[in-house]
Amino acid sequence: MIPVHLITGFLGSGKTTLLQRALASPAFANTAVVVNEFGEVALDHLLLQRVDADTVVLPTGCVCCTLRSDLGAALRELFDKRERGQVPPFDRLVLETTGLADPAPILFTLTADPVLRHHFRLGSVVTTIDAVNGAQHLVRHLESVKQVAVADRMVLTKTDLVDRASVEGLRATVSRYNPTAPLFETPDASLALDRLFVAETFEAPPRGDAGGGADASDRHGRDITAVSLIVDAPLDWTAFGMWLTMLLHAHGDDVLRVKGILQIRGVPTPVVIHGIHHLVHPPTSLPRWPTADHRSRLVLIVRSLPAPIIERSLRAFLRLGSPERPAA
Amino acid sequence: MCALCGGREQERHWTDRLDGTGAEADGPAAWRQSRRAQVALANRILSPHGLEVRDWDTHAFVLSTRTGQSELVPRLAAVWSTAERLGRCRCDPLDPGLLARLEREAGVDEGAP
Repeated sequence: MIPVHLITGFLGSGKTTLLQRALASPAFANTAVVVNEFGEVALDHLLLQRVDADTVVLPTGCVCCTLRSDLGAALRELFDKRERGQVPPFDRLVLETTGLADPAPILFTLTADPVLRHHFRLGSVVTTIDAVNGAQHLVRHLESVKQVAVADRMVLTKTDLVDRASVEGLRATVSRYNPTAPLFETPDASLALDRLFVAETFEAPPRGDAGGGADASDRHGRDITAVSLIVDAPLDWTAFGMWLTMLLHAHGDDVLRVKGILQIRGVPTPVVIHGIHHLVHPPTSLPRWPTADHRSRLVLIVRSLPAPIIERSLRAFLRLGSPERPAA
Repeated sequence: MCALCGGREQERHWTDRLDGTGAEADGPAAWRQSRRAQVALANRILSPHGLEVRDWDTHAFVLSTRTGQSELVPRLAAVWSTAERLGRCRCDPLDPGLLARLEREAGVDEGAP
């Protein structure tokens, strides 16, 4: 499966510059690139393809279930050329989105397309945040907050143009919205690009064992919070699936992101789960636990949903799958 | 599509089972067991609304009302919207009434973490 990495971020936040730098690195030689539009920063790359912003809205009317037919066609064409030997056999694809693009339809396209889902999988979502204007974007534009919320990796750009206090303030703000995504800064000559574009991502929230609870609140009235949940005992997969599908059915519009590393009963290795809005990417397993802590950790970045009720609900559903539960 | 019964080929949904994860059991037997478990839990959630869920040979779920109205549902994630329509109920895992019932059935004090 070829990982598809997304670079998203607000207009002018340095997406193309970051991509340019990645493509200049020998480690990214086998990388195909798909861009929404050619910006001011020129990309000189052998495997470059442009897509137009054609979208097909499915009858559900759901924003995240919008099929990016243009993207699907572009990826199928690239894959077809790869198979016929017309382009080098790329083993990684980077997709640069437009400044206001919602990543959910991209995930939906990868998941729903009958051809693509067998050949591509979502890799990292890398979000660039401009240190000069990022704080204002977060206040004024919900899209900017959503881009931070869905990130697997966050890159603060142009940090040399503002004072350190501003950078630290922005770091604190974006970390409140998304406590799990590692934060990088540019310009930084030592930035290891392979730490940005990784095939499998999950980082435990850095704030430790808070159990359930809100890690962040939006003082601009949008009520976006990161809810961190830790479960000690191995989870019943059926009960967990029941809970998450029902939660996303009822509140998917307000669940910006789900990330989890789970200890599933009967499964010896950790299972990683990722979701954006109503969509859940097929779970994958890691060969081993990243730390000595083998408890299940789940982070939900939600809008206007109470953290205590989410935790109470998860535990109530997990009891349904508990082997010692009383008969109904 | 099955030529005899019209059943569709099984399409995996992330909730169905964990493939390639080294689970204790795999294959058709594990698939059926997973389906049975899903049906049992879904019925615990939906039975108070007069709804019954059955497995349709692991291809789909059948959702029925007490008056005999039935609908085929391809995957678990779609059960909830169909249940809301047939049962005229709300399928919300954060619903305090649902949580209180589940906690009562589990012998947990209402509202306890």
